[in-house]
Amino acid sequence: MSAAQTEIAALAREFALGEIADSITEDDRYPDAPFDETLYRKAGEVGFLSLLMPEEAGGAGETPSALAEALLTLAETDASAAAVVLCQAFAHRILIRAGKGNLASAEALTATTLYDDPLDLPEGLSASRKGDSYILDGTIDYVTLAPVASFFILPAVLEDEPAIFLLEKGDGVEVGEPVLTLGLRACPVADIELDQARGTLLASGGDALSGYREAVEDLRCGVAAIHAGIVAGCLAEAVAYARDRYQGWKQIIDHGQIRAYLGSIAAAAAVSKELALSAAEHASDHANAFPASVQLTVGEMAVESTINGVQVLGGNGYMEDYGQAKRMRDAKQAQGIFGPKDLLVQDIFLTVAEK
Amino acid sequence: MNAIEISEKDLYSFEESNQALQLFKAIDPTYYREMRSVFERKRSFVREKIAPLALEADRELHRDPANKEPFWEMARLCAREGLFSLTVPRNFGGSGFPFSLGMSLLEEICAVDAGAGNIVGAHYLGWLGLYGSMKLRLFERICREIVTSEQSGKPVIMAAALTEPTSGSDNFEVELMSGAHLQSEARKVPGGYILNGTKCFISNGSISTYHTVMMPLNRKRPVDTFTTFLVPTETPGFSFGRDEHKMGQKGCPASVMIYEDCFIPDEYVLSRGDARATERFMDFMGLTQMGVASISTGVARGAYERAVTFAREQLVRGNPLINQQWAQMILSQMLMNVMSARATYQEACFCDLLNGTGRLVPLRRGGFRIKQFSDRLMASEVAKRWTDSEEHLRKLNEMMGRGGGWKLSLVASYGAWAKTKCSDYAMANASLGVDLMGKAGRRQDRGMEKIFRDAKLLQIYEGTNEHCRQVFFKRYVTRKDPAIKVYGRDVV
Repeated sequence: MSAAQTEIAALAREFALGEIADSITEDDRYPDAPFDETLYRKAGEVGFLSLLMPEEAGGAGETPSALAEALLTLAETDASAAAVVLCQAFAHRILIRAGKGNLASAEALTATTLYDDPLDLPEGLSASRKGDSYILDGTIDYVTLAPVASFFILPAVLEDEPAIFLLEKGDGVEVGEPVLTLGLRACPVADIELDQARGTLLASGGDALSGYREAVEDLRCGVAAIHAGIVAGCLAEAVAYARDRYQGWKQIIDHGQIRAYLGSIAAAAAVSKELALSAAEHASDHANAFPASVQLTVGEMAVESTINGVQVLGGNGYMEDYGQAKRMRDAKQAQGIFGPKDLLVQDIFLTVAEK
Repeated sequence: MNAIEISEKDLYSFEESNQALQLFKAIDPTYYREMRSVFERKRSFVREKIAPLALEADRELHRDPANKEPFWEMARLCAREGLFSLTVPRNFGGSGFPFSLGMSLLEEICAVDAGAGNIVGAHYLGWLGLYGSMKLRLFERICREIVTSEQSGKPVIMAAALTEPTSGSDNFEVELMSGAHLQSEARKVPGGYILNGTKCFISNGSISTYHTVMMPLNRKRPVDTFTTFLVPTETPGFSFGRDEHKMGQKGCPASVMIYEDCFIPDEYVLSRGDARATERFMDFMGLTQMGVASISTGVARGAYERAVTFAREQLVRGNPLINQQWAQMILSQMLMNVMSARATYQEACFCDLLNGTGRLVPLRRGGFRIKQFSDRLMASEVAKRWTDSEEHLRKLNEMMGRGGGWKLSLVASYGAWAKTKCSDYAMANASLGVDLMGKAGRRQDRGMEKIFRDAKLLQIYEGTNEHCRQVFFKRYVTRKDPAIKVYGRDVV
C-alpha cells in the first residue's frame, strides 16, 4: 500500500468512526428519515467526494486504488456512505472519460444510473438539439442520488443514437418520491421525469457507450471494495457476538458449526480485500475481465457471508438494532451495481472468449 | 412503480403440482375433496384481499414501526375468512380440518405475504399448546371465543412464548435446555402460579388475546420442571414490551412479553413437565417446524411467480428476458426449488399422519370422517369432566412420557429436515429472484425485495437451521447408534 493510500485509509477510518457510526441506524431509515446533508458536506470538505477528480479541477487526482481503500474502510462501518462516494466517483469518471473533467463538482452531489447494465442503458429519455443546447424529455427509473443531487448524468437517445448528458437540478427535472430500496438506503434512489429539461451533451454515438463502459470498468473494483468492507464489518460483529452469547452450556463461539461460519466469513474477508485492492490496481486493464471477475466473485462472497453473519446472531441478527441485517441487505443491494450479475457472468465469458 | 400482477398461467396448479396428494385421493377421497375446496376458496381470498394490502403494510411499518393498525387490518381480513378457526372442531363452531390441511393453506397465503401467513401460523402455534393440554372445558371456551370473534372487529388471536433474551434455540432441546441461560421462572402458590421473566421475538405477541407461555418451575432444573401456562393478556402483572424492529415479515408483530408477579390460576396450567414429557414436547416441535416448511414453500413460490412474470414483461438488451436460455435456467431452478420444497414438507406431513398427531386422522378410507367423530367425543360432558381433574394432567404427562417413542422422534426429525431444506429453498429463490430482476428486484414497490427480507427469518425462527440439523442428526442418526454423542465438546 502506498503512503497516500495508507493516509486515505486512516482518514476514512477516522471519518467513519467520528462522523458516521453514531447515526447509521437513523440514516438507514431513509426515505422515512432525512438524508444526512451535514455528513456529506463534511465528506466533501475532507475530499471523499472528489477523490478521482483531476487536481486541476480542484479534486484529489487520486487513483482507483486510493478510492478502493477509502470505500473498503467506509463500508466496514456503513456501506451506504461508501456507495455515495462511489456514485460520485462514477460521475466524475464518466466526465473524465468524456474529456469533460472540468465540469465535475467537488462539493455538490451528482446523480447517475449506477444500477444499470452498461451494455443496455435505459432508453426512456429522448434528446433533441435546440440551438446551442439540448432539450431532454421522458422518464428514467432508479437514478442513484437523484433525490439529493444538484447535477445528473443521464443516458438519452439523440437522433437514434445513444448519448450521455449532464443536467442541472432545476426547470424540467422532476425527481419522484425516493424509492425504498433493499439496502444502501442512505444512498438515495428515485425515478426521474424530464420535461423540456436543458442538458449538456457529454458524448454521443459509439463514444458515449465506450466512455460510459470504460468508467464502469474503472470502478468495478469500487463495488468489490464496498463488498469487502461489508464482509469485514460482518466478521467483527459476528465474532464479538459469538464471544458474548451462550447456547446451552457454552459460548456459541465454542460451537463447531458457529466456528465454521466464522471461519468462512474470515476467509471471505481476507480474500475479498486482497481481490478488491488487486482489481483496483488493474482498473484500467479491462481486456482480461479481471475487475469484472472480482466484482462478481467478491459480491457472491459478501452475500453469502452476510447471510451467514445474520445466522450467527440468530434472532438478534434479524433485528435492525444489530448491524447484520443491514449488512445482508446492503451486500445484496450492492450486487446490483452496474447491472444484474447474471449478465455480468455472460459478459465475462465473452471477454475471455474474445481474448 | 406498481407491484407485479401475477398471471393466472403462472400460478401453481393443485392437480399438477401435488402428485403425492393425487395418490392420497384414492385412500381418503373425503379428505382430498375438503383439501381441494379449501385450497380453491382460499386462493381467491389471498389473491384478492391479502395481496393488495401486503406491500402497503410492509411500507407503512417501515415508516412507523410502532403502528399496530397494519397488523390488525391483516388479522381482521384473515378472521373474516375463518382462518383462525380452521382446525377448531366442528362441534365447537370451527371448520374441523386436520393440521396437514393447514400446511397447504399456509403455502398459499405465503406465496403472497409471509407476514400474513405468520399471523395465521403463529396463532395455531399458540392454539396447539391449548389443544395438546386436552383440557376440554377450557379448550371449548377459548375455541368458541375464537369462532365468535372472527366476524367482530377484534378477532381473538393466540401466540406462543418460548424464546427469551438470553436463550433461543437452546429451549428446543433437552440437552441444551439444562444449560440454557433462562431468566423466567414460575413459582407455585395457593390456587395457581406466579410468573416472572421476559420473553422476546413472540410472533403475534402484541395482537394476541391469549398466549401459551413455557417456563420452568426451577431455573436450575428446567427439563424436569418445564411447564406450560395459558395467559390471557389482560392478566394483571403481564404487559407487552415493544414490537421488535424486524428486517422482514413486518406484517406480523414480534413482541417482547413481560411477566412481573403475574398470577395464573391452576386451571390455566396446560402441561406440567418432567424430563420424559419435556423430551416428547420437544418432539412435537417437529410439527410446528413443518408449518415453517410450508410457509417457506410459499415464499419460494412467491419469488418464482414474480420472477417469471417479470421475465415475460422485461426486455434485456432488446430481447425478452424470458427467451434467454440463462434466464430460463434460473427460472427452472427456482420452480424446481418450489417443487422440492413442497414434496419435502408434504413428506413430513405424511410422516406426521402416520406416526404423530395425524394418527387422529387414520390414513384409510373414511379417515377424515373418523376424525369428525373423535371431535364430537371431545365435546361430550363426560370427557370435559374427566379432563378438568388434576389426575388428567398426571395421566397426560405419563402419556407424553411414553408417547410413541421413536415414532414421535421420527416426526421430529422429518420436521427439522423439512424446515431446514424448505427455508434454504426460500432463501435461494429470493436471492435468485432479486438477481434476475436487477434494479427492479431492489425496490420495495415491486415485491421481490420484500421476499428477500422475509425469507431470511425462515432460517431462524422455530429453531435455527443449525439447531434443526443437530436435531435431525440426534433423532435420525443416533437413534440407530446411541453410542454417538451429541451436544458434546468439539475436539477442535
